[in-house]
Amino acid sequence: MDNVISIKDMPQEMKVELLKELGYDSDGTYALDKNGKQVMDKYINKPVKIDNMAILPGSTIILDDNPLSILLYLDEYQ
Amino acid sequence: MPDDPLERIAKGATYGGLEWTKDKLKGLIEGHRKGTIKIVTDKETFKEMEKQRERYEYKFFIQYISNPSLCQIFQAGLTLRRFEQTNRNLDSLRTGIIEMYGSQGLHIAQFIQNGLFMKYYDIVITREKTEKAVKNNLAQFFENFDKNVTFIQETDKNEQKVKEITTKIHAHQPKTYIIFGSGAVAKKSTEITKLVKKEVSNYTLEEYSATEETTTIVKKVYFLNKES
Repeated sequence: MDNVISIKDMPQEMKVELLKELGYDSDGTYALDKNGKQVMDKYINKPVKIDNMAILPGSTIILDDNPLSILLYLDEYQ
Repeated sequence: MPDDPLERIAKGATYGGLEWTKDKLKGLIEGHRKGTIKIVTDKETFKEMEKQRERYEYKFFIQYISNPSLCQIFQAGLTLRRFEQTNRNLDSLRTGIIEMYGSQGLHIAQFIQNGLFMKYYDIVITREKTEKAVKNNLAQFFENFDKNVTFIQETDKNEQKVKEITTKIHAHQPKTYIIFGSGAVAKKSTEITKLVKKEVSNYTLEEYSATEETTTIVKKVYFLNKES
């Protein structure tokens, strides 16, 4: 079974709903934490946009979906 | 289609041929919470990154190098190579590498990108007598990478570059010094190397030349090996 799902074509409002279900939020552009602060990609230290996010297991890690962040995630968690 | 976004989700909105429904969303969240689903935007890149870690070249490398940053840079280099082969833009990844690992990190990644690690390894194993010596050589080589390798640029002035390289060789006396040039600068790298060779009499020269299959770019790499 393919365990990697793309949300590239997911409607914006559904992405926001997804974040809310996971205890996050959004201002329509960026992912926000429960305190309303922008979620920062832990590897490249940049705010995560909902148009280009990756939500990965490891107690919900939200990253900017770029090759380097993905590489570092896989290095840490796999 | 209803105006209310949640009602739209409940009814199911079709975008790009894929219908995202509330049930699908629930399944996604459940899968994520179980740790079985990875949610990404660019699935192709994610799958590609997973593959890099399975490549024999990477598994071979980590037998010799344990430094975590170098292992990450190696994967980044393999990714640059794959992106180059599939005509993807390299700029974003290059920028990320510099920000994370500095310019030396990018140079190492480009070294890997151009398939030079295995060529260098071939030279090392003919010169070093033990596995420990090979590991030490590789560790030293990457730690001092910018002292041991030059990538020729189009803007380089030959005379200046020759002086720069020969100064480095005389100062650091590396076991191997590498000069690399590709595409428009392949010829320039040959000219520069010949002039450098005249200045460093105790080094022998090995040359490798290759034409990249997908891009037809010519790549030239020169190894100046210190005579023992």
